[in-house]
Amino acid sequence: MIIAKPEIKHINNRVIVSAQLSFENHPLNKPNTAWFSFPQKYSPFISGRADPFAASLLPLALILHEDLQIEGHLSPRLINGMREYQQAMSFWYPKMMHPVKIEAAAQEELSIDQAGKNCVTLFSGGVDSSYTLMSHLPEHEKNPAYQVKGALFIHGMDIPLQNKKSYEKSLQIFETQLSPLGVDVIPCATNLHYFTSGLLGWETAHGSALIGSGLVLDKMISSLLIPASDTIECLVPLGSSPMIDHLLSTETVKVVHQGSTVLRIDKVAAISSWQPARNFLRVCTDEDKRSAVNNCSKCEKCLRTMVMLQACDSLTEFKTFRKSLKRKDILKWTPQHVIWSQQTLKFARDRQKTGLVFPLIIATLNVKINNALRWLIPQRLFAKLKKKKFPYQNDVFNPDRLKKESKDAS
Amino acid sequence: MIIHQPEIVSTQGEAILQARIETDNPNTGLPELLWFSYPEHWAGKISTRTDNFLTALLLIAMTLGEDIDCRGELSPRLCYNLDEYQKIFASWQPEVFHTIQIHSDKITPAPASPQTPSYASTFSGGVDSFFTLHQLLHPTPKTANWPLKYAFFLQGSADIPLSFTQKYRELAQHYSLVSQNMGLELIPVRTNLMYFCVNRITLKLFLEAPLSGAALGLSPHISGMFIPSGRFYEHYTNCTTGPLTTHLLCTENFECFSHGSTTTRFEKTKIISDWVPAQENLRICQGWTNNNLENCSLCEKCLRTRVSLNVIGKLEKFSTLKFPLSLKETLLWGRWLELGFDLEKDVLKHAWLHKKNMVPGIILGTLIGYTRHCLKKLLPEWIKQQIFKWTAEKDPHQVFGSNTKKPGGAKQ
Repeated sequence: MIIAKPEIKHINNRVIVSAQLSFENHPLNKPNTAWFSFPQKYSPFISGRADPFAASLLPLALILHEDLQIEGHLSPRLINGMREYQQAMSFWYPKMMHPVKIEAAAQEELSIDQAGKNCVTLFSGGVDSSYTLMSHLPEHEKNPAYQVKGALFIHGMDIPLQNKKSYEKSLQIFETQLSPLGVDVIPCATNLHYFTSGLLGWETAHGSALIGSGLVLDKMISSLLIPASDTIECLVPLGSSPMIDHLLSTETVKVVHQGSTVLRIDKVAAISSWQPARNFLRVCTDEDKRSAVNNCSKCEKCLRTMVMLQACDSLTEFKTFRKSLKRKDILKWTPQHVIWSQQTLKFARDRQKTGLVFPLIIATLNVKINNALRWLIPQRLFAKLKKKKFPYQNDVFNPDRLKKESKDAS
Repeated sequence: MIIHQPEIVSTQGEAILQARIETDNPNTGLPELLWFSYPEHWAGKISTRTDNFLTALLLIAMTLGEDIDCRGELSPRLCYNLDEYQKIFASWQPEVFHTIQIHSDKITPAPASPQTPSYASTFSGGVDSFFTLHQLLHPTPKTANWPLKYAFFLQGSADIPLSFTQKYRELAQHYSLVSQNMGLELIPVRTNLMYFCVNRITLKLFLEAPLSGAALGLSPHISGMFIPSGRFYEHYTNCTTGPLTTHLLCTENFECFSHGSTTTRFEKTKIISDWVPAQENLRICQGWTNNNLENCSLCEKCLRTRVSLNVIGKLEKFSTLKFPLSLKETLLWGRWLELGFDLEKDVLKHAWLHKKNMVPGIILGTLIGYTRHCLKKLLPEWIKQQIFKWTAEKDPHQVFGSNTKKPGGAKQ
């Protein structure tokens, strides 16, 4: 797989950094060009190096088993980090991924006088990123080097590119809430997710894609915070992990995996009294039912967050959820990880929320039964069933859908 | 706890970086000075910042529950990362480690290196060490190509106590030549840090502290350090030198990496089994004597390595280990089996394919090991104490009770 030298273009008041890709065996219907797009005002902060493309497309090379050849300037620190990163990924996913040769035409670091000086966090409006942002505001973070100055909100990660309305509305709300706090919401768009859809689960590919998006702004960022999805009690192989994210740093941009020592329920408790979060908390994963920051309040993620907010007596303050959470909703909740219901149960017991105890015990049982049933199903059969239930043609990140829906829109 | 401004003192061919340590509680029994001793020619490259003292003493301060006040310069990046580092240990052992505040009036970024980056690896002569050196010195386009220039050989860690002066001196001389032949410079470093952790922290949680403390003392001349790790990405809890904690011990211009966490012990042994430096110099023994440089070949670690090498077919090439391996020794290996790392499975699989005559001994040894492990888990404490007192390995903590002299003649 060859990543050509990146190009910078200025179109319609936006700066677009793109790189042509060549594959030995072109996979499915994937595009030929990977790109990142920012508003024009961020142009002075973009060096146009190959670092972002190399980091974000590495999982694709691993899943395709194609050696990676990078043209353009690549950081020596990053190329070594990528080689270590792929060892970890291959260890976690031995059947899917194998280490590949990673070679760069030119290894050169960004000069220190061009390096960025700001701490920026990835931001989606969810629990993890809201907690990371809030805990790095000056009133909570005394270390000036780690007081967050920017929140990178990316279109194309969880909101498909064809859904512009949802992204723009969310962006507007984030800007309204965060700008008074001195945080610059940085809008970014990228088509990276469209490369791995159908080939690799997003939970595996997202880490490097997030980091790559941050590396584009290498003349602005010195520390890039990646909000943690899991805690250290239950780390599972994942594309973003406290054990490997730092490997994709360069000499001048340090990647920091943040928040893995804080329990999810504690994060929710921390943001439950934070007014901006009450106005924008956005957790829903159901693309069809959510709208901008308005959550469906029915999917597992919504229920998980609502239950935790209920335990903190704050659910009614959150404008982005339906006001009430019925007991039967909690009884039907099957958390993705048993640890979430267990931690919430402990939290509820400690705060004597007796009304929540029984439903949370049932929720814990639900996930244990689910896990037991899942364990009985052979891996291959499960994968087949999953593919049948969620076919690639219906994947919102299928590039054909992007082409079709863009065509329909125009 | 106060870490006073570090200073460099030259004495008897060594450059000693030392700092006075004061605790709120006067009865802690901790030494008054923490020191790291380097060869004299490194004097001009030693840093007098407090970064390395902070990483060395953080866990000690956490056990005391005392905030740390650093009187020298401190890296903001290190400060930030150590907040996370503390939370990890506090979540693992909340009854031992309490999170504390770190204060300093001189928070300044660590200076950049005046030259091209150069990295060091810690080195003890064991399987992990040789594997790390082998991989770093023989990079491929699939593996990282870090510019490795140095190897740290530490005295005062759990491996070689300060009291083993003869052993350390001879090993340092020997390994210096070995490193030279590999194109590296060996940096022998000594420290009294382990006297701070005695009876406070279990050794397996205190492996990073002396290593990172020693290396940071030479930052930014050294840009980063590799710590060979026996820990996998899965076995990251309640242990150090693994991928969860090591990388947090860094400044703006110094990084620490855990190396080897994706390779099983058996695989590491296989990779180094054909490498001449490892064949001639492997040192893995847990024997605690000052005057014996050789491996005893009978302790848990020696047996583990001998069985693996025997199954691979290379044991006779290793001049520091006894050959041949008897059936009795294979059974002894089984008795000391450490479960959870699948070593016995790797050994059995390889033996099945390449050395079928060893299979019965390995199976029997494994059964003994599993039985012992189950008994240890299930038996009540009072029965365990009676049975296993006859079979337990020596407690290395006993070694750190001895009274040894600091360079220059002053007592600890």
